[in-house]
Amino acid sequence: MRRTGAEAAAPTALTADRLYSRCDLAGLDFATTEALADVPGIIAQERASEAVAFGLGIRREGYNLYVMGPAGRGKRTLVLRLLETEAAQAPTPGDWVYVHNFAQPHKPRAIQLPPGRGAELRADMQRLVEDMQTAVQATFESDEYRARLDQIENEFTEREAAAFRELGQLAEGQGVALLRTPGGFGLAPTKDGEVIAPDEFEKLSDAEKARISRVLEDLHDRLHKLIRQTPRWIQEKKERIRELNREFSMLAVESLIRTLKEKYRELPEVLTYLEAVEQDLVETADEFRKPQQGQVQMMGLTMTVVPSFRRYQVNVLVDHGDNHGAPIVFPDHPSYPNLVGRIEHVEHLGALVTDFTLIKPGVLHQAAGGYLVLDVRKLLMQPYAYEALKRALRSRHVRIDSLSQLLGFAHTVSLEPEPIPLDVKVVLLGERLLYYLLYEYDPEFRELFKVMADFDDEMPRDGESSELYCRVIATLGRKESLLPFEREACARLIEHAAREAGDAERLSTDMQGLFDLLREADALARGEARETVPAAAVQAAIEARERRTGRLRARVQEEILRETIRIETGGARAGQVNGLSVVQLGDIRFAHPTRITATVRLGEGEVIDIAREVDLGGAIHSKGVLTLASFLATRYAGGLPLSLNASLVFEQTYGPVEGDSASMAELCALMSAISDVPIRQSVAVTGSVDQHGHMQAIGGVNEKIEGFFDICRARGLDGGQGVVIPQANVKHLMLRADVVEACEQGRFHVWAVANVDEAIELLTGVPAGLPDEQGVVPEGSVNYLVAAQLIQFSSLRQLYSGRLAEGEGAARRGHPKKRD
Amino acid sequence: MTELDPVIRRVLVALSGRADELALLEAGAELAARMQAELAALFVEDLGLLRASRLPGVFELGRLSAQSRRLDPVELERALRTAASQAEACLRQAAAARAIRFSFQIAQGHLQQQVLTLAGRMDAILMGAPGAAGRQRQPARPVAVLYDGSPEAGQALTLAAALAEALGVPCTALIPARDTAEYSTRLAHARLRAGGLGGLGGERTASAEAGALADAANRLRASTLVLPALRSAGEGDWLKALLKRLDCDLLLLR
Repeated sequence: MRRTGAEAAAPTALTADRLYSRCDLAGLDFATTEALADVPGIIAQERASEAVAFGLGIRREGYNLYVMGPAGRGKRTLVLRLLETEAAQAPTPGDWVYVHNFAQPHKPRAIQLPPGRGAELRADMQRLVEDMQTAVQATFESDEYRARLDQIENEFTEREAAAFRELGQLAEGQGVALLRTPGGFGLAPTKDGEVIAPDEFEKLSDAEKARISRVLEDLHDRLHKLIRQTPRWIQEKKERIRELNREFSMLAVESLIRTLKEKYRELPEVLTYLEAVEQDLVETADEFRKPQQGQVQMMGLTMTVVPSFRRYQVNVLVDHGDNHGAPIVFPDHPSYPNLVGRIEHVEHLGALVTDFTLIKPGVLHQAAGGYLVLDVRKLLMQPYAYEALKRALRSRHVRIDSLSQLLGFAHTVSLEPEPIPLDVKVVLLGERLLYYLLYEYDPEFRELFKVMADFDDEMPRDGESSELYCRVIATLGRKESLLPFEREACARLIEHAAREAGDAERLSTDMQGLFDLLREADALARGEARETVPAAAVQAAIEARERRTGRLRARVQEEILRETIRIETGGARAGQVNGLSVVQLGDIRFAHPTRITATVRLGEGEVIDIAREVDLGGAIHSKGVLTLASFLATRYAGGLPLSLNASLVFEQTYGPVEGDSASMAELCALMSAISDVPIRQSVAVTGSVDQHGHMQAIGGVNEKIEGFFDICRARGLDGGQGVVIPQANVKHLMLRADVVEACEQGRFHVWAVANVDEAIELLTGVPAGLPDEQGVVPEGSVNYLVAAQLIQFSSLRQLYSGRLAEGEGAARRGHPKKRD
Repeated sequence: MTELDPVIRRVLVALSGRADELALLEAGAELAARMQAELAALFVEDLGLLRASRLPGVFELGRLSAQSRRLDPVELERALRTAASQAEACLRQAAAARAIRFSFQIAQGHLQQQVLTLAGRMDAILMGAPGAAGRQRQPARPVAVLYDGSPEAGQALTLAAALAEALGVPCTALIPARDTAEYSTRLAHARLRAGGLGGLGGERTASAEAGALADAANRLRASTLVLPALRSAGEGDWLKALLKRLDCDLLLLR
């Protein structure tokens, strides 16, 4: 066995002052929190505050923020407070509107205007339509228009009449009459001004008939050409009338549009739009002349049709008219359509139709030019929302695509609104786990969220932080009009914060938890008609909360006391030790003793963790077992083969086992089993062991001690019970008052050890047996007995191995094996 | 409504089978209703047309299509009968709508002669000019009336004023005059005769010859030319000459 140093004295139990770090009232120089000033911001989050301020201040692509930390640390409060300061100094972004695209109606155009002018443009366009109706009516009912229209009509009428008259005169000159028939026109030879009678025609000479025939043919051609020309004249007349209408439409439109163009002269996009409006108004001015309502027949039904001028409307998507500074948007429901907007449809004659007026904004539109704060968990739970956010940030535009279009399910005509430029700072609020998962598995995440702000779970506990903590109590209390808290109550809350942090030297930064406790203590104080909240009310609130959440703990304890779960707290047993396990369910956290047993036999050096064998052991638990096995082999079997097989079991556990905080207990159980030195069952042990036998810190030390204490107290404290903990965990001790009192009275003990030798000595009452300068271990010590047994095992193994070899050799030679 | 002195007994509409004559029938019905007169229609199957259909080598060209086809007498007669039936149906409808008495006759011969023969005293004869195809009644086109200062012209003026009032259009007097002074005098007189009709316009013509009158009415772009009774020899030829050059309807007071 190796040298491990000189013999050390067995550790003594910790004194009461080391079991609980009280808050020094001398450092709290006030009577109640009424005398304390508010805390201006969030305390103890300097790193996170700096990160958030940096992230908000840098205006570069990809520098969006992920603010992470457990709930209740004030992430939202800090972020919103900083945002409000930044946003107030930032310029107010412009309004965004969607207008009809006359060239491509299915692609509405987006226009940005200064804040407040979006609504102004909408009102102006509405007024334009109303004024147009009046102006067009007046224009086309004017005397000038009617005169010009008459002139065109008459011109063509006269032209036609003159042409026919001329032909008639030509025909008359050649002895032919131009006749009107029911269906059109005819040409017939005449005599003495009348159509010649058939019998008289027969009397004419052939030459005369031939001449008449030629004349008729010639006039026939002329008449044919004249008639064929009529439709062209009609078309020409229509074109002239159309031009006339256009000219007068322009008169009606021009003056109205000129006023608007002047008003929006400094906005080129609006001017371009107004020019398109002007063009369309001129082309479609006739619509303003029609009756306001008409009736059409459709599918056998008579429909009342109202002329629609919707295309001249302005859809104000984002209106910052009443805002000052950059917008801050924090949506409660960051679904896909809420993020990027949506296009609504209305039903019309059994079909779904839409237009640009039915485009609705998303929060990305509302936050453009400002800040968007999102809860990560809520964002990730919404289908396609996270992808949409990334898409918008990457492209720096917001494109409104419906999910059905995106997924190819859309079968109705829809729109492709012009994407709107996006300049926004996104702040994600969420858990650390989600941050690291996103960082690890989504390469885009790192590109888009370069700033991480990590909210601390705890803060150092000292005089300054304690004073700040009291001011936080004062601030939160005033925020909800709670009763002032007395100095002693504040001290109790500080101690509770240390307990929540699981560390006497630190305070939990869970402000939400503190806030809840303040409310509960306030309620109890008010129930007693008090004007201030005393420490007793705080304590009562803490105890009440423990009672509310203590059903499971009580149930487990009850089963232990009823010996359904077998835990011994008296006597001694070899190969058995009381370990301590923590149970965490929601906000419930408690510990209870767990019986750990070890068995050994001759073998080939395998330490079997039963839990691992049946896949109930987690990786860290298995690591702990392998570590103690390595220690065992190194310390006791460095020069000889480890010839034992050992099995370790967490008795009566039927669920997964994780963590290595019981590895010291397992090692002690194993050493007890090997050496056959019994372990006192009145002492529980918790702690992690390394390969050199050193005790390492574990979590939940307070709960573990209290869990074993409760069992012992229920069975009766005899002054021999206690818990062995790692030395490194002493600074974490913030035990319950009843535990501290019992320790103070010597009815219960807490020992802090640094290594396995100290632990085994406390558990067995037998000296561990440290080697002297010659490396000799005292006879009868635990280490001596372990080593001796392992040598025994090794010898036995060699013996059996040799006999086996002999037996095999004899068998090969045909001789039976010789027996001793 | 302007009182007519004396009362028109009958409005006689002359029809020959053209499609655009149905509008003329409506105008006649409206005038008859206002005059509280009887509405009569005379459908004349043009003799010249009938003769032409029996001549060789005579073709009919479609009014819109310019399609040429042989002018067949049987088809022509059928078409004329159809047109007459349609005209009679339209007459009935127009008369019923206005609750006026009506009559319908069919004759063969020359339109102007037949209608002048049928018309009696105190009849107003309404004829469409045989000019270009497709006459549409133009809104706001004035009513023109020949006013030469005679009592008959006065009656025609009264009729024209009533017609203009009914149509809501201006009325213009065509005044034959040798000089400006005579024109002004006759115009003043006409305005006096027109009585309640405000704004009677005037237009000086060189003479009361058919051609001059037609040209004056055409220059005015009148919708209707109202003439007093002629009662002269050669009335039919004069009328024929007028209708050849006139671009609007003719209302002749007998």
